Amino acid sequence: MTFTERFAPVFARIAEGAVEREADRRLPAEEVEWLREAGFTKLRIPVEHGGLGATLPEFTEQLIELGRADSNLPQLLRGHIGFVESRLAHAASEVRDRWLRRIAAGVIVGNAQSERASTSWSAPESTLRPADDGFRLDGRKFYSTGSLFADWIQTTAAGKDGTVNVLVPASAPGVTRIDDWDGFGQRLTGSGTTIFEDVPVAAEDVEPFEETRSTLMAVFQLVHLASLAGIARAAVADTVAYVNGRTRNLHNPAHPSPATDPQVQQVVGRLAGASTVVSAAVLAAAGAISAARSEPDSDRFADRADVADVAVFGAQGVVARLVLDLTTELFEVGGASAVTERFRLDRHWRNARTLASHNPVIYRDRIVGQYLLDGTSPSAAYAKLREGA
Amino acid sequence: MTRALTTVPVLTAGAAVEVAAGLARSFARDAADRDARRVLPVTELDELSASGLLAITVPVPYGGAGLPVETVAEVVRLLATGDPNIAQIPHSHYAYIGQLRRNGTDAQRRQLFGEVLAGRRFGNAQSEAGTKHVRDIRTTLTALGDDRWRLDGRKFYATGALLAHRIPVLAHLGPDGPLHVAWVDRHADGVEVIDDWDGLGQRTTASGSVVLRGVDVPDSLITPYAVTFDGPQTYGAFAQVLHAAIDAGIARAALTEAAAFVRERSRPYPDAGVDRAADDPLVVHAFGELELAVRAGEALLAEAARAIDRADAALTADPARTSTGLTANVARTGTGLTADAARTDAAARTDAAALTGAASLAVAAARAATSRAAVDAGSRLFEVAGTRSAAAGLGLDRHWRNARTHTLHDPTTWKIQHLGRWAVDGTPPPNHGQA
Repeated sequence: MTFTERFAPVFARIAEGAVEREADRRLPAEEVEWLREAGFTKLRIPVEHGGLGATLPEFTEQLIELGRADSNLPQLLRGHIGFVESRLAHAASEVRDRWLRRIAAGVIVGNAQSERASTSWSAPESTLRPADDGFRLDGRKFYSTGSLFADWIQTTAAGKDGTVNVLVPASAPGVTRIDDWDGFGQRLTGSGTTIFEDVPVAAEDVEPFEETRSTLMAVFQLVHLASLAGIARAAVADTVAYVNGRTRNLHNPAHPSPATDPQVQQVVGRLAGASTVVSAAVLAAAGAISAARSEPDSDRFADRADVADVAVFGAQGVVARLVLDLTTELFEVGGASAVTERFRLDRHWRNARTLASHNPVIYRDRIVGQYLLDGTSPSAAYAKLREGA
Repeated sequence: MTRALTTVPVLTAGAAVEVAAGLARSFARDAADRDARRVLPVTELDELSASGLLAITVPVPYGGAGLPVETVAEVVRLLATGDPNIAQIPHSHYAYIGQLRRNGTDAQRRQLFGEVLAGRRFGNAQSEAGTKHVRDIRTTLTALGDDRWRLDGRKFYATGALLAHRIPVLAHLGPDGPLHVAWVDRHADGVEVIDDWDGLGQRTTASGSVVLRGVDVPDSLITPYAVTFDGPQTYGAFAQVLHAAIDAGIARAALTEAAAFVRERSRPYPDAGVDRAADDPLVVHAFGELELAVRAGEALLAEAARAIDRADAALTADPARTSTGLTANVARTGTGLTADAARTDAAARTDAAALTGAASLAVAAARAATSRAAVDAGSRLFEVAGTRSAAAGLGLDRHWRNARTHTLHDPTTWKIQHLGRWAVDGTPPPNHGQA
């Protein structure tokens, strides 16, 4: 059974309730369970660890299809996906094995990194202090996407000897998760606040903060790109369904059925073309990341990682513009009924706009240009951008 | 004349623009909140009526200001910069004042213009659901004898009807008879206005449904409509240019609000080496691109409005049309039409046809440009404003939702078709209410 055959039925069920969930603002907790049961959250775990062994491009295709079903879900699993990729990139170790097996068993990891007060991710104001039985964690994190749905939360804190990576069971005493995200799009990502108050942390769950060159940042951006590609596919499908469901052609009586109107056909074709290009660019970016990761120990790794970053950043500018334009243009198939809130056809633009706002394209374009002109590593440029964000 | 009824000020062009700018500033204050909570702008609309702005197109002979289209378009654009919902509500009011000017009898004009000068508003009830296209109408006036008619039908997208005093209803005079306008009282027996508009944008335009069940209408409140399009006309172009004005206003509002956000709230990109996001050359460039698109829309809008004024002047000079009492003080400079007394009627009519066609094309260009400027500004503003601008509480997405909803009123593709046919083989635009 191919991955597509395996996940298509789950994605179809998720897609069915997408409009209603957004209207009622119901978080997709149940849908996350379906994904876990179907094995989606262990797609990238090697078969020998109990996973499904998908390559990054194979996984990306499934992620796009998940985004097509509901663009909130890839973003909601972004922390999990990034965590899995970071574990996969580690050299063989007992810690790596333990986590890969946990994830294969169904564990979902969420993310709680951003702080309102601190100016840099690498210098958090959350603190980790030693205690009798390990450590205690205190802090307040914003935009902690997906942590509401997670079994474990990955976070950062200032330890005795500098910044550390901390893993906390979501059920630990002193962990409070609040859904206070009020964006006009991607409304169901549970990107709220996570509060840690005197949370006990085991010694084995405190790890050094990694600042070595990796493709992790590219992976995080790839998830947004996959969501955007999924939105594009969904927008095309919704437009076709909308046109075929209409019986009157308001402004062009020469073509009484909208589906036979050449101008309507042209709009649909243009949307589909843009969507195809978007998916191709996203899958190409996944391929570039995969290529870099295939030789982590080579001296060429840094160069390959730069190429992967450029593939991701270069795609971001074009993909964001194409998707924003096509989710705006879809309304031009005619018919003022397209604007009724019942159809929520505007959710595609709202979702795309919210995702794209995480990645201001004017800066992404510039990072790519700078690399091509003077060789500045995109990751160095991005680190600066992130600190300012 | 009916000056005794006049309660609203009769504004000069300069005063109208100034009053509109002032109202726009005040309407802008709660626009995001009204959008978020779907609150109809009831008190705001009363302020608008009291200001005299809704009476500026009443012809001078009837006690009005008779201001040119150029001024009306600018007034509507300014109102839309404050709240495009408020700017769209009186759209039909202005359009139907034009109907009355063209097709009303002197007595009808005196009565209904008198109502406008007294601060009353016209809504509209044109479009119908379930018909083949936008100009396929089923609502009918059935003769009752004794100069009375009964009106039955159901209309939707009746923008402004909910908050109007009088609703001009488009209906056939007798089964499949020529289209006429029945000017019914908003609260007359058998008139029901339902607030069922659930658009994703322009949420507070009160564009609901109007149900007409055996409404009694006297002859004196029925005016011909179909005849509007028998010869060259600017009725359609006028309605369209006001739509362009609304979109131009949305575009400007989105840009202005984005600029304020970037000045006051955005943090700079560290590598730009600037203290304020507003000094970042990439941000400045993005604003420059938006300013360019918005200015182009504004310029095409103003030009289209002037083209309608030129066509109106020619129609006024056409002896066949003078009986309609078109505005007496339309600016005629530069049209060269005042010196054509010696021309034959036929020549004058040819002139009028050429000028109305030119006006329709100018309006098509204005609509296409303002449409794009509005949706682009509404979407691109987030590129420069950063992640925080996506918070729902700010309501910044309303600009895109408003633009996207309102620009679908007539699809841009048709404006492009009109321009394309003219560019390819000089085909004049069609002579109907959507061009």
